[in-house]
Amino acid sequence: MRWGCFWNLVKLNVKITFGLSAWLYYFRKKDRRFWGGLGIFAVILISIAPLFYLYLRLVQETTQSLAGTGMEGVVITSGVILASILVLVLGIAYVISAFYFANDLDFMVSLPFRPAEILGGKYVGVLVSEYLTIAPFFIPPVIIYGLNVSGGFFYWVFAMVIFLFLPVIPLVFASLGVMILMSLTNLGRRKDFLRFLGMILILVIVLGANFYLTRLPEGQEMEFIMGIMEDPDGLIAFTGRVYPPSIWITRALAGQTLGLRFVNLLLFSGISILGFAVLMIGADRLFFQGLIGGQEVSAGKIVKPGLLEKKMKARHPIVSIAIREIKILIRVPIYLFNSVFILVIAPIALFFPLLMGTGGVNVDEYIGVVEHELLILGGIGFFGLMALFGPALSSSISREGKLFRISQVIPVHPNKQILGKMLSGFLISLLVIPLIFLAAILYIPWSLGEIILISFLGILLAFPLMGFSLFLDLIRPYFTWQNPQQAIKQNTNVLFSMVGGFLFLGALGWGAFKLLEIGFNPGWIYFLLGLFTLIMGTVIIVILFRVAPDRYQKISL
Amino acid sequence: MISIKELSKSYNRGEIKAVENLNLEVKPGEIFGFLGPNGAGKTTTIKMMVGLLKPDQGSVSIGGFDIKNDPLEVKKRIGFVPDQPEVYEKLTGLEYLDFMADTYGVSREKRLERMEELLEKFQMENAVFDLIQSYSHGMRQKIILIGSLLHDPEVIIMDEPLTGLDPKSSHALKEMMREKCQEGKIMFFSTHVLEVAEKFCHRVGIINKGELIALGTLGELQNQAKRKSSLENIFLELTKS
Repeated sequence: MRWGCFWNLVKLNVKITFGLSAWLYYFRKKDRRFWGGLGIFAVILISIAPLFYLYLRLVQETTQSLAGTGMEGVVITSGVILASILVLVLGIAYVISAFYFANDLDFMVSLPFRPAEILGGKYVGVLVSEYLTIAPFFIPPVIIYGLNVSGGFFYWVFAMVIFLFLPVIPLVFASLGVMILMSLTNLGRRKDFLRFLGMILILVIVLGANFYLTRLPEGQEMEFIMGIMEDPDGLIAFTGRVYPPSIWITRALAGQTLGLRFVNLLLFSGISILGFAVLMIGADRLFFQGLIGGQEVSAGKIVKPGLLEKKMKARHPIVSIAIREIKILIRVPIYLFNSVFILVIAPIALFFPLLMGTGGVNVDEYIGVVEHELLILGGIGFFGLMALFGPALSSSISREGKLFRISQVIPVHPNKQILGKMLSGFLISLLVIPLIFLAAILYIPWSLGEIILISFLGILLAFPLMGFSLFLDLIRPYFTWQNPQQAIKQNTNVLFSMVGGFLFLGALGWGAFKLLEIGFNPGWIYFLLGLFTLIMGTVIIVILFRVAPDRYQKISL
Repeated sequence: MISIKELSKSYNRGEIKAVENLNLEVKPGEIFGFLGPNGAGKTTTIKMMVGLLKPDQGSVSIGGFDIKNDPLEVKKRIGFVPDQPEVYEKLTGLEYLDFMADTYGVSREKRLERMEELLEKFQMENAVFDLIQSYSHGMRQKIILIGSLLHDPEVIIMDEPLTGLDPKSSHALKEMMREKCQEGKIMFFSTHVLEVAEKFCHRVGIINKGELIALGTLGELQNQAKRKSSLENIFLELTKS
């Protein structure tokens, strides 16, 4: 590894990832886009502030409830695990995108750099962006523990060092997994599909391991919990089973002696550095294997006469645009993973522990005490949640990138193009219906009529949410992405549409609940819900129609 | 007919004048070459012609329709080939062509007839079923070109169309341009290949630093220049400042 080259590539990647050069250029030129960037950052902070506040309160109350038991450190362990799992899970798609689908890779490979130098530079680019992911989860418990239990000079210094090293190990795991996957699947024609399957496999392994490690021994749950509670270190050790470095971090910050804390800090930072070294050694051997070669080259083989006529399909422009959207979404593994597969993985991740009875909760008993009308409303809300989790529409314009010029040049009115995009979102939201059926078969006593009602109202509910998401992306599309993951994950429209959507869903849910509480007829509540979402959806469409022609004309690539 | 009047576009709040006060008319049946050094304003002009950029002032009308007031009517009448062959990589060539034909409202019968003709002409009849990501630079250019011709446009606007094409495809493109011109269509293209412009265009316009500095047939340009010489020498003489 030539450190000069590595450092140059790190600087380049950080500048590209965060658009720093453009930002400084705007500053020097007194361009208002400089302030726009700052404004967006401020809006992001304000948007996540309510959630952040709830998390802070949770951490504060947990710390207080554990006061005097010697187990307070578990808040740090939990924060570290949460942050690390997020880095690992989100990192898989991010790393694939940055390492293998970035626009500059062909150029980079032609330069006299070693594979480890190129990959190392990109790794640090991703690492820096992961600090933004871990900060909200790691910093609150550290500050609350520091203020409530033990502060001191070394505590804060150690905390800063740990923060810097925190995403290293999970990102090394994600990177190594991805490199192995990419080198094994660099097989030409079907590689995108294989890679998508590989991403799912890695995710299933991560979630499966998480479930396996956190489950309680069957039949001896109470004894096990008592055992944990009797040992002051027991809860930390149990919680940390998912990710052992979280135990070292907890001991480095909440250990009883400075010596013990220092040893644990050395252990954690040493393992992190070792992990990075292993990644660099692996990169020299594996990185180019997954990147170079295996490219699909047009065979141009002679085809049967009449095939063109057989395969050709004429469609209405709106349908054609919807199909273009869906085909591209499905064929780019990163988009498929983020926009479609998330519809399957998100509910599993959300409800898996509940459904599997982890923590001693019996789902049947739980469902038994919930009013049936609430279960129906919950099913409808689930459609809305899924519309928010899948960024198909909140990144729909941005994902077009430079190819947005095609949308600007074709003689299809922007409003029809908007309808095409909405249609694609509608078709994707239909994927939630099988999940509702599955839930009905396995756990929730919904009748067929109720499933139809839930699906109908759920799709109606998704309608304004999708329109709002598309509106945000139309107003401020993000075209300067370097890899497909950035088109979604660095696209603030995705975040804003989620925050706005959650507020909308929350308000609707609260309203429906209150109406139920005062004894309103459930049938009328469903009717009002459908009517309200239909009106809201229509309003959003009207706004989109007002805005789209001007935006399609004014956006300059 | 293409009619460009007083067209201007500047960047950086007027600091950089990309195109200034451009006036130009191109008549049906004409092959028009738009020449100029790098950064002269060719691509900016073309982008304004096809609706990709909004002019600061002036107008562009094609077939009697103004791009600002009737953008869809203009777009229906033009076929546009951009300078970069960037296209949906995750679609097959046929899916892309179908998409373009759908958006231009080309009937199934017409599109089949034109696809067969154009795919054969540009030797893409076998590759059309493959994903575009597997295409070479030239093949991408050809699929974009075919996509822009499916609706048989009145005006074909091409930004550096010959770059990246192999000699056979380049020849096919020139032949196609001649045919279209005989049918009364307008071919408007920018190029750096002065030889092509010299042999091939009925008229050329030379743009430099955003201003149209010469316009006419080769003979007219030779008369404007200090001495009779090749288009290359005229170009160098006019753009040396």
